[in-house]
Amino acid sequence: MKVMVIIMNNKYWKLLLLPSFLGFLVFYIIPFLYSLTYAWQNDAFRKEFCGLQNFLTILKSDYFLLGMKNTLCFTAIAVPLILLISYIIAFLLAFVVRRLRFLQSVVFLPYLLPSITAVMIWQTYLSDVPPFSSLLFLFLWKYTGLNVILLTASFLSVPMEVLDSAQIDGASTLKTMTHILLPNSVPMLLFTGILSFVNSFKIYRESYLMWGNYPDKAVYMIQNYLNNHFEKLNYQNVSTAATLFFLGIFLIVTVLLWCEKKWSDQVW
Amino acid sequence: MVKKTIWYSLFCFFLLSVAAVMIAPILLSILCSVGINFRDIISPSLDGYWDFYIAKPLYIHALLRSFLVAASVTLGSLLVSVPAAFVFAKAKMKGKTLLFTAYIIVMIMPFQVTLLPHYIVSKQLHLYDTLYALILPGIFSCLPVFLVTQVTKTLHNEIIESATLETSNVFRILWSIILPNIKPGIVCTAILVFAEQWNLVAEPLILIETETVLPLAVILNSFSSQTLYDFAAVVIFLLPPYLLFSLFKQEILEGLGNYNLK
Repeated sequence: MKVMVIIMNNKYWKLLLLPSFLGFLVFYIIPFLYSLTYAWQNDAFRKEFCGLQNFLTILKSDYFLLGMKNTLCFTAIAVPLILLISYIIAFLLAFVVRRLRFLQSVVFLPYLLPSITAVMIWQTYLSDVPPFSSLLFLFLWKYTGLNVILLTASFLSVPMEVLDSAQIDGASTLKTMTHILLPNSVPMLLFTGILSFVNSFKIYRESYLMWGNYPDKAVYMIQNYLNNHFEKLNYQNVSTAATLFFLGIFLIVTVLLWCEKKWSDQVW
Repeated sequence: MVKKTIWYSLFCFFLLSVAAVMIAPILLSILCSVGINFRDIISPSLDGYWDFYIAKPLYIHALLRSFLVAASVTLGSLLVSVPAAFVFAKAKMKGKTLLFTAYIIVMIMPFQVTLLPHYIVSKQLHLYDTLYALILPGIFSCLPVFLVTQVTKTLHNEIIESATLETSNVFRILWSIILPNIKPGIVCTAILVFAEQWNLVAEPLILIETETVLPLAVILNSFSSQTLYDFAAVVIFLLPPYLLFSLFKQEILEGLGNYNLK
């Protein structure tokens, strides 16, 4: 153990972190902090501090509000839906139809495939479907498999003895599900929830491949707003909107993580 | 008993149809690329593949660029993130948790939030409009560090401890003790990173202007005309991730089982 401590505290060992840390600083942290300054300046030429003025203007902008509304709507519908569907599939694969468990990997395949495959097929055969449902379907197609694999793994990690003893005590299948499996899988469910929440913002990729920079009003997301204003060189707006977007995501993820931690402390 | 069988076959049917929907786009794009389209029937032909290079030289070059970006990011990010993950998972260091949290925060932010920072850094370092603008930030992205750290945490300390009795060379411990033990996790991470880079759309749109530098994922978009060649390109484009998937199915399943935020 003594040797272990010496090695663990070895200076050179920590140097292994250095390349990653430097890259992290140069490519992510420093430019991010620098870009934040745009949100507090009135325009690109004078670069004067203007307080909260940018935030007030942007909160009155119709397109920003439309984008925010659509993004929120999409996330609020897509995330619970994908969790429900993948929970059912994972449950069936883990306990009911064990023979079909190899389907786990088939369902996961779309996650690795380029989005353009599904988008081109969608445009060829199903171009009449309303845009919002198109995006919803493409989202489910791509990300359900990831959740299924994670949830199946967590179901299978519940000790068999616990399930067996519940059955011996006379618990019905439904009771076993709600009283043993559900509480045990809540941490993983929250984790997949966070993943799906994060992935729901990547839907811009599909949206761009389908309609380019100017999609239908029903699917004009905050990502489109940021991209379009960036192309118009309107950095003040981009930075302000990105700051608000960042704060929103940060808040929601923190709450979810806190829930996960609290819940897993309770169960285990 | 009969009731049970009916339910069982219903569930089977449900699962099989989900799987069918998942692989339908692959089959349909293969059919479209040889001219079998269920709307208007063109005679089946392999022209899409035969004349591919003559009709769309742009696509071949873009495919090579996509490959270059995806392969170098995958290799580079493993080189950077495996040592870093080792420190995050096993070393004692002040501020380690805080730094790791920062990595996670950056990891979960959508690209559009960091769009302006990406643009600023690629302009400042004169990477704008070159493939390096995609490769360098990709190499230092936080996802592989996070994934490899989660896998390394599952290793027992005793393994490293007994290795330290044999040698004091950290690189040797890393190479011959840690790496072989976390192989499935590494393979899984590499495949996830490769697939992500192969499918880049938002980043090239911002960081690259010239059409002859764009990777294939952006050049192939559905608001252009859809010809045999486009579908042939899509089929060729989905082959590399598909091959990786079918070769390393087991590692992916095993590797993904380890991931959670603890």
